[in-house]
Amino acid sequence: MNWFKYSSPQSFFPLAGKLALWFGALAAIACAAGLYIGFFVAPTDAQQGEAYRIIFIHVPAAWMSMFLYLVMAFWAGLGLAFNTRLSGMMASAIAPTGALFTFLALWTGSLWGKPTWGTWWVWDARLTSELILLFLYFGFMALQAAIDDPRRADKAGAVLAQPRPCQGPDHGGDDADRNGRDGIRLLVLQHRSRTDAGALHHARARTRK
Amino acid sequence: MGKKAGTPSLEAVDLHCTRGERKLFGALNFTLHGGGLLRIGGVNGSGKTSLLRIACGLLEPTRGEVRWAGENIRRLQEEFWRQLVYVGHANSIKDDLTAAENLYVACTLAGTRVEPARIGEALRSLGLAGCENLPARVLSQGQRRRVALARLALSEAMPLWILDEPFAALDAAAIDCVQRLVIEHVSRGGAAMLTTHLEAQIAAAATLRIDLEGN
Amino acid sequence: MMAALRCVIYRDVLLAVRRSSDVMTVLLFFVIVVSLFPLGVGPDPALLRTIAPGVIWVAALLASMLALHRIFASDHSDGALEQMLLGVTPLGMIVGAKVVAHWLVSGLPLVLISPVLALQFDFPQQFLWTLILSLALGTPVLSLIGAIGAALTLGLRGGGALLSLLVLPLYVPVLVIGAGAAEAAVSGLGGQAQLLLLGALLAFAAAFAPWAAAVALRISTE
Repeated sequence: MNWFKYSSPQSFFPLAGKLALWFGALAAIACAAGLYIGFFVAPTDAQQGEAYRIIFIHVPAAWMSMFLYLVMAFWAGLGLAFNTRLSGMMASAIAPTGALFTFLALWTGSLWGKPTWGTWWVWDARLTSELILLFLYFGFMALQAAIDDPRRADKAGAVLAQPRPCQGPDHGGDDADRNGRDGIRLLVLQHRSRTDAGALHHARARTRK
Repeated sequence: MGKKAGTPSLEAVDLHCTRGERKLFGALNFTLHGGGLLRIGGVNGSGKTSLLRIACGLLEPTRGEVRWAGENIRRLQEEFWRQLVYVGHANSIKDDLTAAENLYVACTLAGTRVEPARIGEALRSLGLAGCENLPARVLSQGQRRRVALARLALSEAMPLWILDEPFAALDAAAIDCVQRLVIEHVSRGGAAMLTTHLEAQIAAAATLRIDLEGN
Repeated sequence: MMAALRCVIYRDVLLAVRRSSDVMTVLLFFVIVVSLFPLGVGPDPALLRTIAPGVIWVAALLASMLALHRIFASDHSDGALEQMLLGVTPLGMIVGAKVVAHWLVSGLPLVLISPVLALQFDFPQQFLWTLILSLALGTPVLSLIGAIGAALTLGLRGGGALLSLLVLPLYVPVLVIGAGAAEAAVSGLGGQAQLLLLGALLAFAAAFAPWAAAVALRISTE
């Protein structure tokens, strides 16, 4: 089967229309099943009580927000390199969904934080970097909205999205210190992808704690 | 004006151009040899400027390619631009620099080494004697256009000249001067491509003419 | 090629000097914003000493952003940018030269005046060098990253605010590391780690930003 015939918007659109209904139904079923298991089947947590159940929405939302950013950057980059219109359309379509997941992750995170840590927000590495990710999505969408010519909008968005994946949130693991300025220092030190010196200082920071 | 050996030719192969939702032109082909003068005509909005920008490499055509000496100009990049002089609609003149400084910067960016004496000469040949050290801000529209066109007097080494409405805002004497420059260039074996509404000497000298219909 | 680059730097600095009100405005903005903070948070010296590096860095960042649109906007509107696109020097190098010129007129004055402002906040004198060095390393990075944003938003409506939205998330690591350098110095840990990181960021940005901005320029001028 010649997949490349679907790389033009004209042939892809009818196919997408046909499949959208099926994917939507599948998503609704999976969502319902997941929520049921999360809210009713999973046992109560020993320390956090019932409040922990929001983790079943929060963690997938956070994971999706980061994953979608990489997917968006990938398709935008592909569109820039091979001058394909559909790749650009894909990236533009992913952006609002990614932003929505990021917002969900931040919001459900706050709702989880209040009963468990006692505060709605804390300026630690993970929350701050998730917030920055939201701004990155908004920037991408704003840039595309400001440009009239769709081809220029695709290419400009692609250039914007590229440096970011290596700057994106880096979940250093659960032993990361959650509160205060130590977290900020860890954010600094977690930018391993920028420099090797970072790895060395990361080790120093751990021992210093 | 016959084809002169030595100057590579500019070839447009199956050019299509769509700006926004409007299709400006399609399936455009031409070959401009050394010693040839190509004149692009057409009503406002028919895509003349877009065609010139595609020929320079500033704009990517929706389909098709432009070749210089057989090679796609998008691959040649600086090698092609080294042999090109482009004077667009906008003057590329900085208001806060003097006429002489503007000309000097333009030549240096284009890779031409010029002595200050030649800059003064070029400005004088376009009737700008006395304006060399005035900031471009105080010059009139016509004088600014002449500063932009003074580059041509220093660009004998560039085989390809692409000019967008070179005679706009000029008086009769300046028009004569610029026409003379272009015709001399072409008779030396260079190639020139321009758009103009002027039906005069230059039109007669054109070896090739393309009229864009516009949609 | 070096002649062309020297010419570009000289031209841009000359233009900025001849229209010096642009440059002075940015510098004054920096000074005023820094002065706003004590008015807003109260004159408690201990508090001001703590927030000094952060305040100076945020103000430098905002002042830098204010000056960004100037890198390409005027060249774009009078057509000089097209000539650069058609020049014999690779566009990435020309962009690099323009960013150097931009930093010389917008970033360097901020670095030079920062010790004066830091003293206003009673910042300990022995750590002033760390602050100055962090700004000296950080402001070129801001100019380089900002050039990409400026190239992307060339000629768009809502330019200034859009540019800020695009560029600020990328500025965050520079801010965190830069302000962290002085804070670490004051707290006794020494700012070397952050300064080294800033140096690495500068090297990385200098290597990649001009080329990204060149690609963005070609996209924006089509």
